[in-house]
Amino acid sequence: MDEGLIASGLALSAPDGRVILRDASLEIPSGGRVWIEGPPGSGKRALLKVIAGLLRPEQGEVRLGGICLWPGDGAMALRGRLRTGFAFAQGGLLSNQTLRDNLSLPLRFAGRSAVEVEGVLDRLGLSEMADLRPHALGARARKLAQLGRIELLQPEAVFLSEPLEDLEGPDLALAEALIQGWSADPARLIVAAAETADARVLPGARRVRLEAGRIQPIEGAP
Amino acid sequence: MAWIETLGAAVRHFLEYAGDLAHLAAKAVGGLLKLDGARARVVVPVLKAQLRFTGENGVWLVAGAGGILGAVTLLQAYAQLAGFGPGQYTGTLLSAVILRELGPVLASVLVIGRSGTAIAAELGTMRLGEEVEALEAHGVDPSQYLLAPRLLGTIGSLFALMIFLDAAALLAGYAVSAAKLGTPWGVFWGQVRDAIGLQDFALTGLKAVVFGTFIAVQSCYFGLSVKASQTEIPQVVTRAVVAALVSVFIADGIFVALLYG
Repeated sequence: MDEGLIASGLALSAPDGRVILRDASLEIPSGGRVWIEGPPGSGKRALLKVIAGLLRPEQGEVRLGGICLWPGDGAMALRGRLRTGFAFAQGGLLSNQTLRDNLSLPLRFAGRSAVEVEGVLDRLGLSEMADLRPHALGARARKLAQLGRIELLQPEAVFLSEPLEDLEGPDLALAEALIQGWSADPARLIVAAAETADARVLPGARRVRLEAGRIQPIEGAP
Repeated sequence: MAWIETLGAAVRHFLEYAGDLAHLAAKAVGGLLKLDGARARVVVPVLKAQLRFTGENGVWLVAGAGGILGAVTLLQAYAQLAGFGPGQYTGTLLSAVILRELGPVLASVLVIGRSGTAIAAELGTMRLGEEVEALEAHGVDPSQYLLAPRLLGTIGSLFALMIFLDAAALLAGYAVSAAKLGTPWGVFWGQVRDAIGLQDFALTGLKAVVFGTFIAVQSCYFGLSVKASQTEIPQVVTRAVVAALVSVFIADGIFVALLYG
């Protein structure tokens, strides 16, 4: 990916009229890593969706890898040109598909082999749950499955919404190892959003804070 | 001049809605046309599931409704036309009333009730569960994976159900005619064959495409319009049902006006 992410002048309101983003801008070079921090309800998850092309802003522009997402078709503009991976804070898995099918669907849709699915399920300790649907799984299994889907896709841009929430012990270590593995690729852009950044997971990542609809650098942070 | 503003806003709102529907339908059809081998292998099971749910699982309901419609229509006709030798017109009457008009509309109403509601509720739930966004984020085009199989499945199922409903209505009509007037099968069938032609079959197919498109596209549209809350789901389901019913009735009225007006 030659160009990174450029978001400028973003504005977004909640259905109840509450302002989520107000003239928010963010620039991340290719291969950049950024933590977006903010208190609960600050809109960091919405911001992550906007810059990933999943949520249309009311105003503003977003370009990822030189491709215009907004104004435009959002993430659909990336089809066949740039791969993205997104770990949702909640949800994000098809409720009528098994865990195995959830992980293999993007690969099969892209015409890629899904032979690695079993290996990833095994690595994440999800093999025994592979035939279950998401509603039958706990929060930790759903979270790991989403990270596993990204691992399988090996996308050029990764968006992580509360990636370590609900994880502890060996599961937390597995998730951290996965994300650290992705950040070993210098060309891969990674943006994570959480209440507080975890410097161990994305070492050297720039930290910004979303407050009152605007993105501001955190004093003293890289 | 407040009424002009109100009227203008309503017209603008309707035009925006019609534009959104046309855009969604175009995306579904475009998605269908762009399916390559790998994507088709993923989408075909979704299409089969839609055909099974809307078509196969709805056959007995639709056939039963068709049978009752055929029997009731003839019983009413015999009661009202007792002095006009209604036995001569049994097959003709059924063909004109049910095969051409009531059959396609009744089948559509039943499909709206069974499948339109299910599509709207399912997509609304998927929206809330960030499932649609997950598809987009990982390169799975929702217009190919969600919209196209629902559109094609609804149209295909509706066409099959219209045929089943017509057949059940004719059989029930014949049973009533045979019981009440002793009409032989050969006479009844001859009347039906004289009354309907290939153009009626083609018209049934055309209505299945038009009505099925209205049902599927509006159900998808309202389902995907869910934004934030579970309480929106029953609301969008109601809107989808009302919009689909109104559009099917209007489209049927236009068909009648164009063909018989």
